[in-house]
Amino acid sequence: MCNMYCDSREDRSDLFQEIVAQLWKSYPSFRQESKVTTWMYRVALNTAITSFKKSKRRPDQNGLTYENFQLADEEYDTETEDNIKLLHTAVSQLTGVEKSIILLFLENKKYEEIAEITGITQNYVRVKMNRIKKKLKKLMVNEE
Amino acid sequence: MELKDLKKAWSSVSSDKELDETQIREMLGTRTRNLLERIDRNIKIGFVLLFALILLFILDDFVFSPHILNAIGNEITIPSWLLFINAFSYALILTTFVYFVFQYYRAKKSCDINCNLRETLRKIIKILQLYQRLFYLALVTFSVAVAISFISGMLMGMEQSVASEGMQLSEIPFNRLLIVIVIGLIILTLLVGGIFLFMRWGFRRLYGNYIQKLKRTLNELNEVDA
Repeated sequence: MCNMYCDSREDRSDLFQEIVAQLWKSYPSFRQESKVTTWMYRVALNTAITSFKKSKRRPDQNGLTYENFQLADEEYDTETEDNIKLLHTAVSQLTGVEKSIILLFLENKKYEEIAEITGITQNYVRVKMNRIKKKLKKLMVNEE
Repeated sequence: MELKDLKKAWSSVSSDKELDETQIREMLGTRTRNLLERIDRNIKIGFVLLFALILLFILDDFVFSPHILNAIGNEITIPSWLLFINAFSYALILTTFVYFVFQYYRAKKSCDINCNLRETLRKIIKILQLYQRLFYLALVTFSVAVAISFISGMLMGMEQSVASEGMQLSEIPFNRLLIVIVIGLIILTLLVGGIFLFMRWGFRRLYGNYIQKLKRTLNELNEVDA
């Protein structure tokens, strides 16, 4: 999530810290009405989307850099590396809400859970997901 | 590249970072306040300052000023209409501020960070709008207080100056009165307008874009459901 919403190592670290802090602080109020992971995604997503950066006027408009997607110290084959580049270029052009939905989709969440996390109906998640898929395909074709 | 390849690429960059309790405690120890925590702190400080200032103004109007004027043997008394305006504005400020604080805590309680994204966005936008109104209220109040003090000071100064010449206010020549009023209005407009515009610019610069960003995100979430 930090990779998806932040474009510099410093911002990523700040956001990660804030998400951990919010999880730690709000755990006592977790009512166990949903799965722990759903609750964690809710808190993390709320924190990421509402994060306030004084120095940047329009945080959502900034593109992600390739560096964002190189957290792990693994060696990638050329194809995977190309796909990662493609992924980062495409994702950087999505809006905040689109990023949240595609992130949950990439994390293998079901539409029901995505709806629960974002507060929109399952139907809307489907509609939105279809639009995002089309948008991503178009973006990736353009890049290829 | 197909979407299934996208998932594969994503899984290769997702990192699993584990922290133990000590690391989390260390991290929280160095953490700075987030926006809502800062607003919360500002409102509490604002409330204490407001009470202290109003208490000081009331003491000044009803205790200190009459006492000082008596002590220096000055015959000028504070007009009762000015005291009434002051008392009325203090009561108004206090009531409005208490109302806003009540609304703020109600909005804050309505949904915590555990809520879904849409509810959280609604709550934060509401809090920020309340904060914005509170800020403008304080700004307008301050401007009115400055204007009232300036006008009453000018009026009393003129009264004293005219009295030293053995005249009354109503006997001042029209030209002289007009010049005093025009100069006074220019100074007042520059002073109050300048402060007001500067503070408003600062607030918009600090929070304006953030509120717009949150509203855009909320509108996007409401797009199809509406």
